[in-house]
Parts: sequence; C-alpha cells; structure tokens
Amino acid sequence: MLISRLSCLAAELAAARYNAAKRMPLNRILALAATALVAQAAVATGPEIGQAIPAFSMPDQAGTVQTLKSVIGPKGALLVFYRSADW
Amino acid sequence: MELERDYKLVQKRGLGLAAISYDSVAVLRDFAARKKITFPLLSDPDSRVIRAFGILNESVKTDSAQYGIPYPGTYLVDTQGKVVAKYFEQDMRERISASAILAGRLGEPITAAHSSVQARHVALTTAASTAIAMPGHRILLSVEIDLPNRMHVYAPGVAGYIPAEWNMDLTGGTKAEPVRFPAPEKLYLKPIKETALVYRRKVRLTREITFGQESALKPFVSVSGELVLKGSFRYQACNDRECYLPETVPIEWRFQFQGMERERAPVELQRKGR
Repeated sequence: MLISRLSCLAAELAAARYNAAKRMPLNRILALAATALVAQAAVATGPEIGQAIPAFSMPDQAGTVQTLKSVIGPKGALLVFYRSADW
Repeated sequence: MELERDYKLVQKRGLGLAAISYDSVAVLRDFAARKKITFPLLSDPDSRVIRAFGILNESVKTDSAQYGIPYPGTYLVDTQGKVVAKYFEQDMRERISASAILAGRLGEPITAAHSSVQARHVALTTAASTAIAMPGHRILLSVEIDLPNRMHVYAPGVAGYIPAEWNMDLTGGTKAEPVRFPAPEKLYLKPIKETALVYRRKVRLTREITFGQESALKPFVSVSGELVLKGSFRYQACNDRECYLPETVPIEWRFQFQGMERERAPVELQRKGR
C-alpha cells in the first residue's frame, strides 16, 4: 500500500540523514536517496491526500456529460481509474 | 464489472461512484449494456483527465493502442473534491476492491464468506469484505474472537505467553498483509502479580489479502467454482485462575471464483494504435 511505501521511503531518508551525520560523502548520500526515489516512484498516483482533484467533464456511457458535481454523493465519491473496458 | 455489485453499498455509505477510462463512449455503451452497468462510466478518449490527474502511464509506447491508459487506482474524495484516501498498487495487475475500501475506511461491516468455529475456550468467526474472489483483487478478511467471561487471550507484545497469531496459506499466489490487531488491554493478574497485554470478550482482527493471478489461482478452484482460502489461528487462553495449553485452530474463507473479463467490444469499436 501507499502508506507502507511512504514509510519505507521515510525510513530510507532517515537512513540517509543518519549517514550524513556520519559524514558520508555527499555523492553517496545523493545516490542512496535517488535509488530510494526511483524505487518508490514507479507508479504515478496523482493528487496527494488533502489536495483537490482537477475539475473534469466527461461523457458517460449514455453520452451524458458528467462532472464531479454530478457524480458526487452526500459524503463524497469513489473515482476509479482503470485501464480499459475493452482489454 | 465487480463495481456494479458494490454500487448499492457505496451509495448507502453516501458516496457517489464513477469509473474513468480512455475508452470511447461507444465502447462504454457496449460494455455497460453487456454487463448491465448502471453507475457512470466516464469516457476520456484523449486521456485529458488522466493527464490532468498526472497518472498517465508513460511506460506505454505512444504508437500502441494502449497508449493513454492510466496507472489504475482509486480515489476517495470528500464533498469538496479533496482526496481523503487513494489506492494505487505497485503491481498494475492488482487493485483494491470497493468492498475493502468501504470495510477498511468507512466501517462497513465485514459479513461475506462468513463461517464460525467453536474452538476450545473461544469461538472464532471468519468473514471477508466480499464473497467473490477475483484475480489480483485486494480485499479485507476478518477473524472475530469471542471469549467467555473471565477468559482472555494474549496480545502481540506480551512476554512469557503465546500471543494471538493469525497465519494464512498463500494459496495460488495470494498475498497477505500484516494483521491489524486492535489495541490490547492491560490486565493485572493478581495470583502472579503480573500485568499482561490481553484481549477479552469480543475482538476483531483484520488483514488485507490480494488474490493471486488467474493462472496461479485456477488450479485451486473447484468444479463448482469455489475457492477456499485457509489459515490458522493460534492462541493461549487463560482465565483468572489457570492457563490452558496453546491451541492452533484451522480457519477458512469460501469464495466464488470469478475470472477476468475476456469478452471484447465489437471489432469496429475497438481502439487502434497509431
């Protein structure tokens, strides 16, 4: 899950900071941090928690144009991005 | 699409539901009619919205028919359109089910694939957020422990006793996440003048599991289409006077297996690469 990936990244950065305190050469620290970031960033996940999602307006299967306002329920919404309905 | 099955539950929780893909309206109309889908399937054929979200899968070649697909994932947004939670998987063949989001985040009771075992000193009830097993789907399992009066079992972190432990057989490449244990009680045991971390009365443990891929799961599916996940629950039960030997009880969850979507849209509607 994302949370575990983030905590993993946090741990890597903490390790990098610890190494920095031990006066590890800067290029080595950067290399470590870069490896950690590449490993974590394979999947782009869009807006972060707490951020607003971009406005949208798209036709549905009946051709009716829908926006966030038209699909949202009284408590919010689940927006599912998937690869394709024809796969 | 399995989302249709959970649509009523999603609505009952006050949530709207929409699924977004790069398919044309024609493909979506055909798909919705075949699958009897009633919630909005939104069409983003130029991947404009997918790009605006920043989740275009850049690893797909630009001349391929698949160019324009997103990294699959789900957002839970509040009434202001702010992200409350999001679910993206490192492995694109995996995804969380709506039932697991409802059960894990919104307190929807976990009641599917329900079964009970009367073990020594405790009753165990197992359940899942859905009764359907689909390849790559992440769902929530639960084990409820029901203890008689005065009886307790030990919680993880206890010293000198066997703590409650829930193991899973990883059938057909199924993966299991760590168990979520509720906060234990500190119980003072008078006769031995010790304080221990325990559970009493009713406790529910949960964990997420992700079903394996279709080819790996298939051999475990019965002729009637049933897939059984097995595990075991280990505990040591004690009351205020005595402690019993540790027990290991087999537990299971029975699912109806459902393979992935194979039927395609009519050829003339299918997307072509450049």
